[in-house]
Amino acid sequence: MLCGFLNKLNLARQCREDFNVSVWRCPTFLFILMGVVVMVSILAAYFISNKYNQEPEMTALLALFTATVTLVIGHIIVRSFSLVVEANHLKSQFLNIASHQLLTPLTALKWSVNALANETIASDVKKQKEMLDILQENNNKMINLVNGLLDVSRMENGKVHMSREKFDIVEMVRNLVSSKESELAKKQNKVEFSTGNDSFFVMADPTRTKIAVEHLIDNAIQYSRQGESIFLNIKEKDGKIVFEIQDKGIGIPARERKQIFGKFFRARNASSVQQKGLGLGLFLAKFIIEASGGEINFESEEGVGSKFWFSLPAVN
Amino acid sequence: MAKILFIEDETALQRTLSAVMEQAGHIVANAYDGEKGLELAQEAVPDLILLDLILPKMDGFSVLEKLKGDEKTKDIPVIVLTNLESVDDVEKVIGLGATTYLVKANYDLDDIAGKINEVLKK
Repeated sequence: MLCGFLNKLNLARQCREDFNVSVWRCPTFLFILMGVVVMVSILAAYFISNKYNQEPEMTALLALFTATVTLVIGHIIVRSFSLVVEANHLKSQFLNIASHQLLTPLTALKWSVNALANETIASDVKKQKEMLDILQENNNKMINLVNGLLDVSRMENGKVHMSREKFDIVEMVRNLVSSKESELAKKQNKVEFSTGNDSFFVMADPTRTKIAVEHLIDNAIQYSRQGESIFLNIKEKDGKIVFEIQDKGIGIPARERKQIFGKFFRARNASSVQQKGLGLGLFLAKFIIEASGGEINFESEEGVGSKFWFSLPAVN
Repeated sequence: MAKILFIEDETALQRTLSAVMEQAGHIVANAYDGEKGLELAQEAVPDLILLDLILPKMDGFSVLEKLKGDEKTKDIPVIVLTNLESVDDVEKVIGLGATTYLVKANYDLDDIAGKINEVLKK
């Protein structure tokens, strides 16, 4: 316990571990340093003013003015450094995640080509087809990964074109659930799908809405416990179509809920279950739904499960 | 002919490596997560284990530690096959008792098959 407390006092170590920067560029250290500068400035203002000016009101006013100015300057400096450090941290995290996520399909491409170069495997039609399927599957994975990254970049630059078309979201969800059969079977999960109507039409970008829905379904499957059901519901409420998906999975720790729609974010308990993906799914889902005039939110309890929902404008 | 256990969550990598190893006359069993891998290793006691580090349920470091701590499996040679390339990871797995450490993306299947045969001959 004492050791842990002393470790917390070790600023150099904290700066290295938390921000990966030296003490002089570390926001925690700069915050303390600016506190000292503010105190010294107030004292200096007080003593100087006292020496040359005998009016206590004037001294107090000068000390207050100095405190305000140094506090504002200090805040701007610490905030700027925090932003730079955060951006730097995000960049490193992105490079690390993106390169690792690309390495797996790239290795699969390399190995399947290696296998096809093996005469015995190449002469076996069944094996040959299997290797070609792996090539195709991993080629698509890479395209999806790069498209995901490009989407984020386009979204941040405001250059995403969102079409607005009328489509049946029930049909889209049904098709997506059917395409997830093999993933559901791996952990004996099943989807219990209920809907207030056989079809609900919304006005949004169908391709991108499908991406958002797929991310939510994938998350529910990945984080569900073995054998548990996933509850999926589509209904109409106040002129909007509401999509809900609920899993009985690991849930999201309370202190990490604010970051859940952030880029490259994966909750602490999620890393032990799922290491794949760029941590962009919920970021993309939120952007897509909000850009289509909808809303997205969730509720969750760690160890119990999560429920995500979004709404989109309904059309007849 | 040797019994090889490949603990890897990426099916494409399992299928490609298994195809080449089976063609070379070995018997390959696959496990998709750390827990299942450990269970299979204790049940089947293979001649060699190929182990990824990033795995669902139990990571490769824990699997390796448990394998080397178990009387039944401690002598099975373990080749760590991963795309993690940090010096810390290499030192950690070698310290835990891995026979060797290979970065998947840097090796062709023939090179890996060669390393496997080398370890099996020892």
